[in-house]
Amino acid sequence: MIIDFFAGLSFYVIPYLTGRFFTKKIFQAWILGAFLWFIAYFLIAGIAEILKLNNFSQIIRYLAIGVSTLSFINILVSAIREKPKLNIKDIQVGGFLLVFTFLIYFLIWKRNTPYPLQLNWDIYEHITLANLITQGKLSFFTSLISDTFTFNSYSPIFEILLSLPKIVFQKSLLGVYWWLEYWNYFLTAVASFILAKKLFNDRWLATVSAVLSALVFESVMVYSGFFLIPQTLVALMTIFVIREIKEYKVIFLGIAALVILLMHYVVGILCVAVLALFYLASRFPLSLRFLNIGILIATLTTFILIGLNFMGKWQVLAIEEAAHFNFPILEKAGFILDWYGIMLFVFGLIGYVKFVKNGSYSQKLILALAILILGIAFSPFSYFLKFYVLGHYFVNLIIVAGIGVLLTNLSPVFKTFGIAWLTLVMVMTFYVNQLVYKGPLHFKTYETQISKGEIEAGNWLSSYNKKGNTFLISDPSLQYVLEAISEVNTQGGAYMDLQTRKTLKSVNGSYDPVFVKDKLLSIQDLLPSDQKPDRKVLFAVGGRYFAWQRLPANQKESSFYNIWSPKTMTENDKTYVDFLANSKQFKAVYRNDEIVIFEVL
Amino acid sequence: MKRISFLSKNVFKLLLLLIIGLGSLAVVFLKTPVNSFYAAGNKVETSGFAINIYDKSANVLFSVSPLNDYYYQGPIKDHLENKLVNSNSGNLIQQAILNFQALILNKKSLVWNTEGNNGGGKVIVNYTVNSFPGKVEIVRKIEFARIQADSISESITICRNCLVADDKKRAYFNGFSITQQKIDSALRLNLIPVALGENQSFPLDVSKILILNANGKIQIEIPISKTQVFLQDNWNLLEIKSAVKKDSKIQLKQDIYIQN
Repeated sequence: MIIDFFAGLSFYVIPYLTGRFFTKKIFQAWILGAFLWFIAYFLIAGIAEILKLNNFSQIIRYLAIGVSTLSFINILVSAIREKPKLNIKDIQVGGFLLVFTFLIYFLIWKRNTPYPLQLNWDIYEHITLANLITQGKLSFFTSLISDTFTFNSYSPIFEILLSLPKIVFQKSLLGVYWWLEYWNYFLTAVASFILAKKLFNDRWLATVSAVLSALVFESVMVYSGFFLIPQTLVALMTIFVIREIKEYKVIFLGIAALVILLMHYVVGILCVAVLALFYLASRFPLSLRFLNIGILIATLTTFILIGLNFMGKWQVLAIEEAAHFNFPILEKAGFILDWYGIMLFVFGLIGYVKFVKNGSYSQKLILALAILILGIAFSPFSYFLKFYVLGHYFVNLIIVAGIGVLLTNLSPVFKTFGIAWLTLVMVMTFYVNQLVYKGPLHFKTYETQISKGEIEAGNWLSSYNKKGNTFLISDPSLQYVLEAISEVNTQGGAYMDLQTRKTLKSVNGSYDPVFVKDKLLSIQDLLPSDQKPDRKVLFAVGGRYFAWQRLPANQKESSFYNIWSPKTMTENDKTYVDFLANSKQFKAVYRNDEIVIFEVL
Repeated sequence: MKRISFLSKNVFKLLLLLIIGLGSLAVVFLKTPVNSFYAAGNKVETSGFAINIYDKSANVLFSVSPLNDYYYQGPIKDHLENKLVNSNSGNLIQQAILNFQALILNKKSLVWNTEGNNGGGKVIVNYTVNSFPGKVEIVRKIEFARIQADSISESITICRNCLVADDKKRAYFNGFSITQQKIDSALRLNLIPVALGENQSFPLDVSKILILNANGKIQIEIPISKTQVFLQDNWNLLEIKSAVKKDSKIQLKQDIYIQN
């Protein structure tokens, strides 16, 4: 657990130390380091391929340790030489944010999710990809690395960075992720603080902004702060770049834009557009009148975009899942109430009026952007809600401006009382909101998407797969989590293709072991490189598998419906397990309270 | 004069913050009321007609409802509510308390307020379920509009195919519905089958009622003292009758140990 803590930190520290050779700016160093590692992985993988070297992971490890050590010594030497002064106020704010986010994160969010259990369903695909990259399997297209990725919506840069802690510390990423997501949460609050500090030049309001950011959990599709996934990291990066955009050289800005795009093509485009706007606005100042017109246009556009919801819904991508990620407007309004209570409607409106009436240049610019992003995110197009990941920061600023109107000129006692009261309201809002999110994830006494039994089964699978030729078959969700823990290949993980789903569906309840065996053996990985002739096929069944088989037929054919939390087996399920165990075609090779793994003979 | 104006502006702003905060909380609590919680993996949830407690495989373990609870007034025996007119998961203040308790003290509870009527007129029955390690506590607050009951039966609808037994290794059935199959199932679990006559209560030496599944595994355990217990096994209903002080307002507590 302690090693995982440091491994989690290294996700941020190693790229920073790498980029630190070229710049002293913390965030610029990180972004440059991330880019250099992205290039280095492809270079080293290419060289290893040409020279037929099998120690890709070892080369990366020595390089990361060497570069980090050198950079650390370099920082230490210059610190001794320059004796930098510490700003007590910054330390106080940092300390407060660390304590506040720590309390909220571990006492509320992870209250019933002890190490290394998880609440983020997306991490398993990133862990799977990072595991494969660790083995030297690299491509610019994620879909060519694993058939878990059916769509290339980002390059593997995020997973490359994720593989660094695994390679350096030689640890499974599940426990690393448990810590890693806290740092992402903390940094989201820090980013909100520094952006608000720059915008309002007021420590109180900046603190309110950080507190608000830490307590607003966009529990559907967006997840900023609480989940570390490419879309949330890309938004976080954008905010850090915006903060010091005036200090960026064009070349650095270009690298930042490139890294942002590589991190997430879709959200990245919005982020780069926002960066470009900020850059141009800082170079070629506009008049306040012009900005007011901009706000008006943004407001009208947002009204039109939201109004479109009453005319229909549009599916942007021709994939089955897309239709499910397009919500009716009332449901989306409900999300806002879940995330903010009425804070966005009331304080957002006050903040809007304040910025329009007497906002500064930057405030008007941010308002126009916040309104526009709100409109885009809540327009009736599938997946567009994801864009709110950037809106999280800007919309929060408008709310904070509204709160600021009521806090301004209050005596320190009244101000403290007011902030404490609003914090309490937001804590309660967050508490109720996260309870709803975690409701379906209850398993035994935990709230989790993975159980200790599944982790044990995954660890066993990992030790079983010494030759690397094992192929695992189970329901989409169980094979998804087991593949991430064990590194044993599956067909598509949770994104199993339709043919495999139909095959699995066909064996439901069959008491003909030969039929079940033949059907299972017909399942193949979609990537030719992963179709191994000497493969050993394992069939994992557990509470999840049987729960999935009990879903209606149309849901089993959809990647939208999953068994999101671990399940226990019923007596009927155990009867079926006994039947398989007693057949000549299946041999139980692993068993715990939740899962039985059969070798298909 | 200036000072007063400054103060009143301060107070006004603070009041506005308070009101907006309260409004926000009201929306949050009313939009997402606490109507379920997990007690050691068992889901406790209110529905429109009952509070259901589920086992870990999501099957109903037992449920309570004013439609199954009884009151006794002299020779009269009637359901607390023959018709359930209205029910909710608590008002705003109750919801606020439930959420604060859960957040600060990690104490899980839910409230189910019902309003209905019976032969004696309007009745309000408010249920509170509190979770403790290994058990749930069910508190019934009953308010009659016109009548004053002598006794109340806190009824529990038990799981289908479950067996009612006691701490003396006896299994209970109604005489009119007992079958050889039921007798065999009791004997298989080393229990002595007992057939109860009409309106016959359990023996007085019983201190614990045990609800077993078909395999003999204890699902729930109900401690009994100074109460009469009746069984209606065609309705899967267990009546636990206690004498109460004659009053229009009555409060009863019932502990149920969940062992599933």
